[in-house]
Amino acid sequence: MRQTMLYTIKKLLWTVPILVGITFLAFGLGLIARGDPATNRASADPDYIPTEAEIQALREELGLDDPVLVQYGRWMAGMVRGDLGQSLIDDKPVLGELLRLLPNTLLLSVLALAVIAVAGLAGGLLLALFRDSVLDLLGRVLLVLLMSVPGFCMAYFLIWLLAQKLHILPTSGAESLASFVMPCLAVSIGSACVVIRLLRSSILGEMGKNYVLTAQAKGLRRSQIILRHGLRNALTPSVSYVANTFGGLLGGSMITESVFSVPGIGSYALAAINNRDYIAIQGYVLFTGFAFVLTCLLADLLCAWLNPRIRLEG
Amino acid sequence: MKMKLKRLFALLTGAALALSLAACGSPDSAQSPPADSVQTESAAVHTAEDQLVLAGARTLAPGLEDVYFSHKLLGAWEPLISVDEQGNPMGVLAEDWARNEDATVWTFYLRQGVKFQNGEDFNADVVVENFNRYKLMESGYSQYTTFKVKELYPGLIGCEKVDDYTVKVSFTDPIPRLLFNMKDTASCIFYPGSWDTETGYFVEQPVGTGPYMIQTVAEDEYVDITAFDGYWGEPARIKNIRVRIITDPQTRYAALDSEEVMGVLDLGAMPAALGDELLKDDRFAMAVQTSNITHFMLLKGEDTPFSDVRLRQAVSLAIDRQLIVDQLWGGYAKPTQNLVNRMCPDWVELPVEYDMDRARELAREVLGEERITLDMYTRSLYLDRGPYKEMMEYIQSQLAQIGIDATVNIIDSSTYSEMSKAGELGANFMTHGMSNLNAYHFLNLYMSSNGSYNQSQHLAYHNPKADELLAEMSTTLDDGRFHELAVELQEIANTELPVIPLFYDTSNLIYNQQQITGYEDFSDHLDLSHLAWVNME
Repeated sequence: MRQTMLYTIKKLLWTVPILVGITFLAFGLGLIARGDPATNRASADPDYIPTEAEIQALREELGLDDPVLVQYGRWMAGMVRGDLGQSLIDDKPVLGELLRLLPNTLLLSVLALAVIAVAGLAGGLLLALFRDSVLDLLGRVLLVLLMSVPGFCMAYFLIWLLAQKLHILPTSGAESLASFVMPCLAVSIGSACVVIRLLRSSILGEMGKNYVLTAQAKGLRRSQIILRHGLRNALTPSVSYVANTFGGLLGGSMITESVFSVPGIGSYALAAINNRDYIAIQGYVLFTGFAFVLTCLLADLLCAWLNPRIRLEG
Repeated sequence: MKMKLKRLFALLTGAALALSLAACGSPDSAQSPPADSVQTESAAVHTAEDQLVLAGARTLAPGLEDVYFSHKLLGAWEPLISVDEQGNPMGVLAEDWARNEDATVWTFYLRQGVKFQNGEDFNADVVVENFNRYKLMESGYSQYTTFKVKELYPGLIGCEKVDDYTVKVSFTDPIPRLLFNMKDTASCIFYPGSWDTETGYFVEQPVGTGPYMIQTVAEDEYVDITAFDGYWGEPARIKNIRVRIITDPQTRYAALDSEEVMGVLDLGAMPAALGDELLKDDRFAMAVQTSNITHFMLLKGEDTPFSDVRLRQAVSLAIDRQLIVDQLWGGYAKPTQNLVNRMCPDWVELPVEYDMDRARELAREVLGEERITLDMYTRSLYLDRGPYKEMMEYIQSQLAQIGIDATVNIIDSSTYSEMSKAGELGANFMTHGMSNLNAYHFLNLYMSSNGSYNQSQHLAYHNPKADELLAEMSTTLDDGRFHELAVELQEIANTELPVIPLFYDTSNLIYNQQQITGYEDFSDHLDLSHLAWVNME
C-alpha cells in the first residue's frame, strides 16, 4: 500500500514541471507562429483590406505591443483565476468556448475509447487464441488493410456507405447520438486495429514464459492460461497505447470533426490556427496538455495496478 | 496449399483496392436511388408545418458578438434600404425618401403597419434609436460585413424624428450616394433595448421585423427559424426551417444526395464540380444566382516591371478567361475585364480580350529578351470556393509564353496578411465583393493614387486623370454625371488594368427540385419565405 502511495505521489509530482513546461510551450507557440492576430482580426471581413492605422489601433487595444513577459504574466494570472482570455478574433472567452465544445469531443472520445477497448480486447484475444489459423491470417491482413486507410478516406467511405447508400445514419452533425457513430468509427477503427495487433503479440510473448509452462504442466487449457494469467500481464502495452490515444482524442480530431461537422475542440483549434488566434491556441494547447498529462498519469497508475513489478521497479 | 494462399492473397488485395477506391473516389451519382424510388419519395405530401432542412458552409446566426446577430438571408431582420435585381436602391422599411439640394439632409418616409416580432410597432423612434446605435460602431465586428460608421455614414450628425413615420438624417458634407451605402446590413433595424448603449453590441437576442423569427441557435450546428405570423409582407410559405452548418463540401454533397437536406445556400454553397455531379441526377436542379463578387489577379507594381501598363496588358491578354470559366468553373461564371461588378447599376459591358500574339509583343516591348520571375499566391480558403490552384497553374503556363516564369503558392490567411503587408506577394489571386454597389467606393479603392487597396496591395497605380475624375465623382450631385464618370473610369480601368479582373462569380445553389420549390424565383439572392414543398397540403 505504502509503495503504491509513494508511486502515485511521485507520478503526481512529476506532472507539475510538465504542466509548467506546457504553459511555456503554449505561450511560446503563439509567439513564434507567423502572422499577426491584429491583422487577422481587422481582416475578419474577407472582402475588406484594413489600413495600417486600423491594425495598429487593434494591436494596442489587444495589448500585443506589450513586452512578451508582461503578456505571459497577464496570461498566467488570468489562468490561475480560471480565465484563459478572450479570442482575438471574436472576443468569445476561450475557456467558455472549450467547455461549450467539450461535451461533443468527450462523447466522441469516450465512444471511440469504448470501441477501441472492446474491439481491441476481443480481437486481440481471438487472434491469440486462434494463432496461425486461417482466422488469424485473415484477421491480420484485414487489420493491416484497415490501418493503412487514411482517416479522412475512411470518413468519406463511411458517409458514402452508411448515409448515401444505406440511409441508416446521418451524414454529419451532432444533433443525436446516431450522428456520433460514423465519426466514432472513423477515429477508432485504425487505433482498434493497432490494439488488436499489440495485444495479440503481447499475449503470444507471454506464452513462452516460465509461469505459463508451469500452468501448462498443471494441465490448464490454452484458453484458461491466456484468460487467467497471460492476459493481465499482456495488457500493459495496450493500456498505455489506449491511454495515449484517448489523450489525443480529448484534444479533438480536427479532420474527423471537420468532415462530419461535429463542433468540437479539434475544429475550434483548427479555426484558431487558421486565424492565428494566439489566445485560443494557447488555451487549446494548455487544455489538451493537461488532459494528456492526466490521462497518461491515470494510465501509469492503472498499469502499476495491473503489473506490480512496475511500481516496485519505479 | 500455396495455390490456396495465392488465391486468398489475390482476393484480399482486390478487396483492399475496392475499399480504397470506394473511399477515395469521386461520388458516384450513377448509383443514386433509382427513378422509381425517387418518384415514390417525391410523392410524399408535406404540410406547411413540416420542417425544411437546408445547409450552408458557415453559420448564419453567429450570435451576440456579431453586430447583426444573424445573416440577412435568414429573414429575421430587415433594413431600411436594399437593392433590386438591377442594383438600384429599393425601400424595405423605408417606403420613400428625399434629399435636400446639397444632399446633406435626407428624409426617409417609413413603412406603416409594420410590427416587430415582439408585437411592438415600427416607427420613427425606433429608427432614431438604431441610428444612435450606428454612431457607436466605429468598427463593429461581423463575420459578414464590418460596420464602419465613418465609411457608411461619413459626417453623420444624427437622425431626428419628424413625425411618427418620418425621420431626417443630417450630415456635415454632401452624401449624394447615401442610399447605396445604406444597403442591407448598413441600415439594419432592430427593436431597441437589446444592445449595450455604450458599445452598440447586443446583450440579448435582438428582435427584428422579418418574415422569420430565430427560434433556436445551436452554435456551430444549426439555427431553427419559424415564420412570423404578424409579418407585414407576403407570409412565409414554409413555417419551420432549419439551416445546418456542414463545413465540408463533400459532406454537403452527401447530405443532399441522401436527402438529409433539401438545398444548400450562402457563399460557396456547392463547388461547380460537385454541383455537376449532382445535376446528373434528376432530383436536383441548380439556381445560378449572380453575385457581387469578382475574382481578381492583383499584380504588385511597386518596384516591379508590372508598373508598366504594357506588361499588365500583356498578362491580361495572355489569359483566356472564357477557357477558365468553361473548363474550370463549369460555365457558371462570366468572364470580365471590368473592375466594377455587373450588379452595380453604373456597370457597363466592356470587351474581354484574349490575344496571345499581342501579349507576346507587349511583353517583349517591356522585357526585351529577358525572362522575369513572378511568385503568385492565393489563400488556402479559396480552394474551397473553386479550382483556384488549377486556374493559377493554367495562368502560370500562359505567362511562361510571354517570358514570365511564375510560381504557384497556396498560403494560409495569416501568412497571407503578413506577406501582403510586407509587399511580398508578386501576384495575388483573390475575390472582392462589391458590397454596397457604389461604383465610386469601389473604383476609388483601386484607382485613386491614395486608394486603400492600391496602397495596401502595393499596386503603385497612378493616373492623374483618374484622380481628377474620382474627385468629381465624390462630390457630384447629378446622377447622370455620376454615371458618365463611372463609365469613363471603368473604361480607363479596362485599358490600364490597375488590377486584372478575371470573372464574375455566381452562387450555385443546388436544391432538390422534386421536394422543394422557390429557389428559382430569384436571380440575385435567395428569399427563404418563398420556399415551399412541392407537394404541400
